[in-house]
Amino acid sequence: MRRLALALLLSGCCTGGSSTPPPPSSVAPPPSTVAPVVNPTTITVGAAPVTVVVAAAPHWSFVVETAGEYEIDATAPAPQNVHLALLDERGWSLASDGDSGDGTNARIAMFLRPGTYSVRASEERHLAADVEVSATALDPLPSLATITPGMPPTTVESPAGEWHRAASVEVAITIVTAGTYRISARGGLECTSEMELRQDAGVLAESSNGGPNGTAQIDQPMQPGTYSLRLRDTIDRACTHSVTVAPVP
Amino acid sequence: MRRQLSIALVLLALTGTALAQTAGALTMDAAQSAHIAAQPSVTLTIDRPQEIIVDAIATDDRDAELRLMQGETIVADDSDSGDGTNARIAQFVAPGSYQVIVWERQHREMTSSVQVTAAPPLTPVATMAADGAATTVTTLEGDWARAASVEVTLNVASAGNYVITGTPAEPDCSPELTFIRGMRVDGAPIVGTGSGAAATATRALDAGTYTLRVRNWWGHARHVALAVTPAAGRP
Repeated sequence: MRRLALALLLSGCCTGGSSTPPPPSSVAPPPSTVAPVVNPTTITVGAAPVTVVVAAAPHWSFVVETAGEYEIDATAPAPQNVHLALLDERGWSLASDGDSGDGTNARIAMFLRPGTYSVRASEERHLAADVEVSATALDPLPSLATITPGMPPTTVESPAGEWHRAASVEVAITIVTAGTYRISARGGLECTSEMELRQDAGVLAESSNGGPNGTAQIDQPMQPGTYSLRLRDTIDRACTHSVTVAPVP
Repeated sequence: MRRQLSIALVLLALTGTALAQTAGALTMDAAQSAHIAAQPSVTLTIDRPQEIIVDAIATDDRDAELRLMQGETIVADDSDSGDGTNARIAQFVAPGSYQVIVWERQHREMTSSVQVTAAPPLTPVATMAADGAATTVTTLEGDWARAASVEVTLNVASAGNYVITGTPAEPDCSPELTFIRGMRVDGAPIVGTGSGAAATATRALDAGTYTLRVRNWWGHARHVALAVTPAAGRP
């Protein structure tokens, strides 16, 4: 089992100013919300402004100690429709999702480097909702082939999937000589290739249509070593990709 | 297959380092639960067709967002049409009950004032007939849609099908034409395929007077030649 510690911090629980943390608990404390406020229920054309108080959405901070791919899930019973956002430590959005999980639940899978992140849950229609949020370290996808520069095109098939990761496959790329390489992936007649190049769980480049005729294309300086190339169709259909790696002249 | 992983729940720490150091362990099976509070939703009752302006003005550094709904239908959304990052919606509304929903863009807590006013009428800058003759208008420089708009009075002598065209004089102009009659928007706005392209459509028009609201989608003052020409056939 990959060693990993994600530290979840329920937002708003930490503003009390106490110098002594209470002991850790296996029971999540209730999320922070603004004290109950009675907002106005009606508004009239031409009348004086009304004041409303908006509650903060629940959010959790977590620390990634080991680089890898992580999945964040947010679930809520229908008809509640939860939306999920993954933020970096500056509060900038790295990814967001509405319906990649089962039904209308939200799911994000992303390669993360060690650091502090936060996850925020909201309801798509701004209604009340009861949400459960979890984080998972994902197993690597198996490598279906190993490609070296100059090889004939390698055919790789990706399945149809209900969300991006489920529709993805991976191949390995082995580089012996440092240089800039062009990685190209052409989809079949009924699909469009999208690819993501990584090394050591760090995403180096992504492309869906950088090359001619809709070919996904990445020009990347690469050092000797092994890289991972993730492939899928842009809208998660089954797809046959023709993949080549060649030095850029 | 998912691996189990350790999640360290921290109850009182602010930095990532502190989190990692002080965490107690939880297994993945112990998902975290929370309640999402409903965002403020106020009911707006409209008794006659009119154009309204809804403003949401946040305090501090918050970023107010607005939505106008009728039942389950989203009538309009806005993020930043007001001053700064405040939200503003201008909308022609029919009589009925609407909901004004307010939230913060980053889902932080926020205090916001909300106001609904009757939109002041725009003074037409020209009057034209549906006879094919072109009338050129100059759109306004404006930082939101209504502020960038001008209106033209259109007189239609006889009912029929007409080709409505707004031709931009400048390549960076993207005209949008909206038909208004009796404080109701008549059909979808007419737009072109992008900057420099004419906005054109064929519409069935009744005899009478219409208002044609014109703007450059980019919000800059530009010249648009308007023409409404009788057309054969059905729209």
